[in-house]
Amino acid sequence: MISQKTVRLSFYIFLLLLLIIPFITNEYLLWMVNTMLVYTLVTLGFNILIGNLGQLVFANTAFFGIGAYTTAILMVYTGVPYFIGIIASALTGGLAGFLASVTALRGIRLYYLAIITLAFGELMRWVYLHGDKVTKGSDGLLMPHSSFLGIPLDSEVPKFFVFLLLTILVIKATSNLMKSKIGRAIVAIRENEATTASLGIPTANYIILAFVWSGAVVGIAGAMFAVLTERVLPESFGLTEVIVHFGMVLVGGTGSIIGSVIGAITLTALPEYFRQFPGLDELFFGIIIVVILLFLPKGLVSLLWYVSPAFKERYYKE
Amino acid sequence: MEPLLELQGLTIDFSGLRALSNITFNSNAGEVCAVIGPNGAGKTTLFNAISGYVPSKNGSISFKGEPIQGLSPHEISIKGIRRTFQNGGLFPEMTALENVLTGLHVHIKSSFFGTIMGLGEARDAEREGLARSRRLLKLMDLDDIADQPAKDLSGGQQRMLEIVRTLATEPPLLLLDEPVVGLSPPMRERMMEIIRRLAGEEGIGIMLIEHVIDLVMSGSDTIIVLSSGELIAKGPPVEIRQNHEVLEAYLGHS
Repeated sequence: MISQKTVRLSFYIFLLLLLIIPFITNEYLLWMVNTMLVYTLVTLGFNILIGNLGQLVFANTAFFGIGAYTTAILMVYTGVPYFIGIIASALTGGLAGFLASVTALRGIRLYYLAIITLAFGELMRWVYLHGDKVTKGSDGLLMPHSSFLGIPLDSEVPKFFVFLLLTILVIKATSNLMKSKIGRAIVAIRENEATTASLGIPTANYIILAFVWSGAVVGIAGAMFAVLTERVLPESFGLTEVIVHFGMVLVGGTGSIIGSVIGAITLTALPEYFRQFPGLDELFFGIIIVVILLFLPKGLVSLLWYVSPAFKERYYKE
Repeated sequence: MEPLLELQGLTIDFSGLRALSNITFNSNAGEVCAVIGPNGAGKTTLFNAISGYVPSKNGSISFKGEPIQGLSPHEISIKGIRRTFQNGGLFPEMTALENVLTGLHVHIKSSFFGTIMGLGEARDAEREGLARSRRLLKLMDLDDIADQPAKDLSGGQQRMLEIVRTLATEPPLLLLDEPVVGLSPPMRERMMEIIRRLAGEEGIGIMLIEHVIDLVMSGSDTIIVLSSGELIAKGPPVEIRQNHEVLEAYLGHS
């Protein structure tokens, strides 16, 4: 068995290795890596509600779209710097999370919660399509040239470094949160809500917090997505998209931060790879998901548990 | 001495059905008070009412002289009444250690901002909680299974763990819903010994629901007998043993 120390050391080496990616890839591959970084945060945020809180909340495309449109609208109409756009997207994403939490707080759970939150996503798509005075409807909103703290984001290389920084910061903050009394309270609610309250934990507050944090994380992913695609379209936030997000959570591993990263990377890379088999690509993609979930119901992250127990999600820090 | 818990004329209705009727009694610190009665007598409903899980219509509940009626379960828990659940209330996927840590939630004082940023104050508060959880597990000989998920523990270990978690914040009043159910006779004895020690040495008030009459008779200071939602007797074990009404209602003969 590999010790926790070795795992931590290899993790830092992995981070350093990431920095050389732009120098060994072309523009296309780097675009894919950047997409993976966006989807890492999409999955990370989604996983908090699905895996940690254990609620079937499918408002993820709403959070994602609201984040993307917030940055796009602010930058197009008010000319604010991208940095401010990211913060605003986190705030509006968090606000959307808060609104979505009202359903769960009213005791709506399981399939009912799933369908209501799905409707929230579709409702937002309607807003993007019909609020065309601001959103430009189905044509989408073309992003202006953006820069991050003075670095112009005009190619994939600077985008990569900015996205990597954002992703690492958000993962670290989320990890700190989940390995604290806050993260434990959220998981405890999933495990047994009545008992959680009997330990003096105000469950309603933690349900709201999980929703708001999830919304904010996915909102930031939306702000990254706006810069990645350079045009924000309503079609990017449809029903199929939320199914892909859900697939990333399940394939990676529910309730696992490392799982979120693995899920996002796998389900971004596979469809791109299968594009070389036109007509069969969706079939291959579907089969791969079925096979993974059939043999690894806890997601790809469970393979790492054989390497070292340090990869198992713990809700405290030594 | 002021009673720890005071119930006055407590009445609970479930959509027209009377579950508890005019219940009045006191419970004191350092006392083991057993609640017995046939199935459906209202024992768990009584615990649910005290801990805020079911709203009570009439009557009053006071804890340390302060009314607690209408408070939510988590507010009552913070006031110092903690309970266990009949069907096991552990968090199955969390380890034993994480279960106890979650029990210490209100004791771990860390700010939201400090936690996200990983600041020293939040880290220290968490570390202190972790050390205390490990100490508590060791005290009950559960330190070997600290990293095991709660669902993988034996029935006895699960019951012990639930009590450790409930006790983590040193509550003045503990409500135990069938603490020895599913345990072997020697484990039952051990559990009762621990309960007696908590009341006698730590001065914790303990109320417990139990069906094993021998344990109740030997282990408790006071017994409350419920039958069809009414309190039919209250007193020390010797008195209850000879109470005709109790024998008739509970044991089916006189």
